[in-house]
Amino acid sequence: MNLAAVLHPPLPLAHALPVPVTLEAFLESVQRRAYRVAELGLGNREDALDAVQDAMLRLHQHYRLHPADEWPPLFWGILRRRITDLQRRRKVRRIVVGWIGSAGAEDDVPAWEPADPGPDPLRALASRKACADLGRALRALPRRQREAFLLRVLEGLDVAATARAMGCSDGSVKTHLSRAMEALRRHLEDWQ
Amino acid sequence: MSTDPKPHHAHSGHDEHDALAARARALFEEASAHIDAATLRRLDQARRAAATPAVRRHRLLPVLVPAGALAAAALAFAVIWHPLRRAPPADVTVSGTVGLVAGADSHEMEMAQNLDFYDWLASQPAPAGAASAQ
Repeated sequence: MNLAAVLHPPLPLAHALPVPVTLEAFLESVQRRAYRVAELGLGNREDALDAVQDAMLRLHQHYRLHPADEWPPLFWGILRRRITDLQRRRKVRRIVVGWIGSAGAEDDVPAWEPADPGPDPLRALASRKACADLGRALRALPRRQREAFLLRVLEGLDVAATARAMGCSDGSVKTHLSRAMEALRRHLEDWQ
Repeated sequence: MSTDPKPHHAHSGHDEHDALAARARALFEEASAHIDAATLRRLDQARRAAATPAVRRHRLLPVLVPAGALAAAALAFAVIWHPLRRAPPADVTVSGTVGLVAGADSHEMEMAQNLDFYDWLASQPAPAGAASAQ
């Protein structure tokens, strides 16, 4: 029996917004979420900004004339590969330089910490803690499971677009996503 | 009271997944909405910088292509018709070349100076001895 069919629930996905007609407008609509995804994957502001800028540049250079509905999977696919490249380079650099000890320190950086806590301190504290918990849980996932969760659940791409962005089949997306959901449910038991 | 946790877990599994996904998405949206001004400015700059080269390249393309073709044609013409290609072979000595040229020039100059003499000579009747000799 297909594992994905058993474990993959009908998730309440993000509301699919219409894709803007110009590439400039599309990138403006997606840049904040792209930065948060890159920040989560890289744990570093400068690297995240570099990855997002590079993805924007490549989309402009190579896919500017493609139909607008192709931009989301293309953009997220480019960004996903860029993040993976930077993670690999960083790993090689750590090995070469011998900074193995600093890897743990970077992993402890909480992701998605809201800059503006808002007027309610208790709500801000809860939100900050929830963001940190979610960031840690996502960073603990295997890379492909994390990518499937980010693209399918948080970004709201459909299965086909997620598969295109990840460079795999629809079935693989469902399998990665169901495993990610199970792992996150275990990691975030406090949320229940 | 004993309850069977398995059916309960299976029944609530989808609800848990739904709640987890909904909360994660809400946090993601909240975090994406609250990005500090400096980072947001960098993102805007990156977006504009990404758009600039494509626009500039698109505008200059109709000019750059013919200009490049013209430059290539001019370079090919210069290579094929370069003046140095008409230079004399390297084994000809300088003194010999100068001597040949100098000889040709002096002969032509002498002919030009004696044109009146040659006109007069041509108008004279041929001597009788010369005609019988022919």
